[in-house]
Amino acid sequence: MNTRSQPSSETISAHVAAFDRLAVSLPGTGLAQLRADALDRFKQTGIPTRRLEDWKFTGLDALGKAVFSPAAAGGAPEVDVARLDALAPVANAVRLVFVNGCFAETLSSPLTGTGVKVGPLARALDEVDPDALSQGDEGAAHALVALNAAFMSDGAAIDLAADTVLDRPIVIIDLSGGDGMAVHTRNLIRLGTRASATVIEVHASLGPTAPAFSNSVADITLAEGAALWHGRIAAEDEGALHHGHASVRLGADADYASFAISTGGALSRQESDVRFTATGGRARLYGAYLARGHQHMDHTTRVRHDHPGCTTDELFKGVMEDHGHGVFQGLVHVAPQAFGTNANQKNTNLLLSDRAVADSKPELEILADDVKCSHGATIGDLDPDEIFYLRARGLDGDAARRLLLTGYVEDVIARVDDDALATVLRAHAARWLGQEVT
Amino acid sequence: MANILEIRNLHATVQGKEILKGVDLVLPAGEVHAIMGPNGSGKSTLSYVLAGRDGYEVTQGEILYQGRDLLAMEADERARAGIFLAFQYPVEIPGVANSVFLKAAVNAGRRARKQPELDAMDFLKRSRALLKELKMDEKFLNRPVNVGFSGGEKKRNEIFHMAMMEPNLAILDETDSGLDIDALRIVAEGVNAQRGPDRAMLVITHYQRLLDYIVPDRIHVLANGRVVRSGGKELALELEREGYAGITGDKSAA
Repeated sequence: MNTRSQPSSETISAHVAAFDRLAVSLPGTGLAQLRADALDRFKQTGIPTRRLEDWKFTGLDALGKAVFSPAAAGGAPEVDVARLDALAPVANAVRLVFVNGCFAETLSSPLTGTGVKVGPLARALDEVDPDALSQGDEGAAHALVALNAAFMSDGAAIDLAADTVLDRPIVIIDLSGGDGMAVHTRNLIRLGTRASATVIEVHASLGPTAPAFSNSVADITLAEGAALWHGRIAAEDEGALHHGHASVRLGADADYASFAISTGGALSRQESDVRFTATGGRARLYGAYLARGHQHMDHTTRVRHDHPGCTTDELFKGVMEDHGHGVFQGLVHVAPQAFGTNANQKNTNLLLSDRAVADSKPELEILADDVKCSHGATIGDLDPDEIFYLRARGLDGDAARRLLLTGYVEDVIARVDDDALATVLRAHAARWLGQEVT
Repeated sequence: MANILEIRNLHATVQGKEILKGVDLVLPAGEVHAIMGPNGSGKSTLSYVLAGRDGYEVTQGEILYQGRDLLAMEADERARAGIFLAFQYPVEIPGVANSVFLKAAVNAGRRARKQPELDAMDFLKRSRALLKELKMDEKFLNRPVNVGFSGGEKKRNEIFHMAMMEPNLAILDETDSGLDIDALRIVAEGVNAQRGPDRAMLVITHYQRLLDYIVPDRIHVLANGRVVRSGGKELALELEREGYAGITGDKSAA
């Protein structure tokens, strides 16, 4: 069977034309060849379609038909600061705001200090080792990463030296909007030995503009013993498309913890590619997707255990109502030499209407002996015993269901032991659930 | 004195099978009545019918609660009107803090009764005092409802909820099951503290033991879906001596 995706010639030629027009203005003079090569890879494969095994539950048809032109550098429209606070309600954050892929200096508070550099990537791009940037050279499934490599305009560059503990959370706000606009942000996060930080990405729409396509890639490298909490929030307006990709490399005993939540957009897909490059690392991948109307939300994780004694813990929870469609794909690969691997993967889904859909594909590829691995998936409705218990204490049916849904999502948010991130996640979940944030 | 509860000729089916076959019972305000009976006699069915659980169909008879037609009320409406069921098997609710649920429940009832809602401070103050009486740690407020609680902790939590909600009619469904003697005493003290002239309680139990601590005004023996004997608290001793078979005449009842 031919599993190659069919390139949509219209989409491809639009991107080629845009590249010819924009290439000179894209940042990083030393990256011209990298960008051209990435565009070539995209040209060969085009937008991923359901024909690819990796994309079989998520079709990017909307992207194939619309001709998105990548964002050109331009003046930042006005953004209300109160809105930024609502998108990430944390005090004392180091905040970087990007509007249609361009750094919004007046809304941002970069930080440079001893062992700490947090600022816009575009200005630092010429000093970046190209190998630290994922370029979508891992096959057709990564065509959107290649597209990002060709067009990436800006994003956050976060660099912590060894033994640097940043106690202020870093908040990256990525706002996009405009008819047919495609926005490609790139975040580069490097933590030195035993360094630790919290980084929260919030992807949202610009406001009363037409929805855009936001395609954001994060490249994350954690040195030995480094620890990162990484929050990813896809909260664009109705009609928007979101693709987020995190490529994570963990050194010995490094600790990567992430929470990806989807509450907005017409279609979103959040991918995590995690690789252990030494022993003793730990990856915690958590997430929630809350879909209503005709929203489609996909969370895809791939974790490679190539070294002994590493641990992966995954929990993703979905709530789908109306025609909402949730997808979870999780692959844990354990190489023959990766003995002592501990991997636990779980996905649960609540379907609140007959027309809602959940696709779940947890997958373990275990080639090693002496490992502890488990996986499981459930799809169901709210438990009538729980509803009755709440109603028998006086909550009406609607209040009972809302409280149970809140608890269902809170059950996974409670795993986040970083207060700032947990607060932001709760705010976005509560907004979707129609509750006041308390 | 007014009756809190009047049950007349109550017949109820579960999945098409008749479990209650003509229950009559009158519970006046200020009194505590016990319902005893062998397994399968319909004790729990009666408690669920009173609480309004789906799947329990009343085919004949009526129930009056403070003179109102109880069967016309939804489960949550009954709770807000002052009926409390302490569950035999309290349900675990992951992700919902005990205090969040209880505060929502207490205030739903207070709103319905046109009482001012408890604010966070009042709620916490009352909670702490009651938890202390029930010898429960304050951490039970922040933990998800019943998740990871031992059997005894779940039952104490039910009594804690009851005390916070100040019901007019409390139905205790096998609250003694799974409790050791110390926990039983604490729970019984908690229940006794809730007795009052405007309130009534229905204590459902298989064993006489609980009634040493919660002394009822009357005891009704339920067997095969009917009340077959009613009497004073001395009936419990007779049951203890002769077993259910001796009283119901049913050799199969143990």
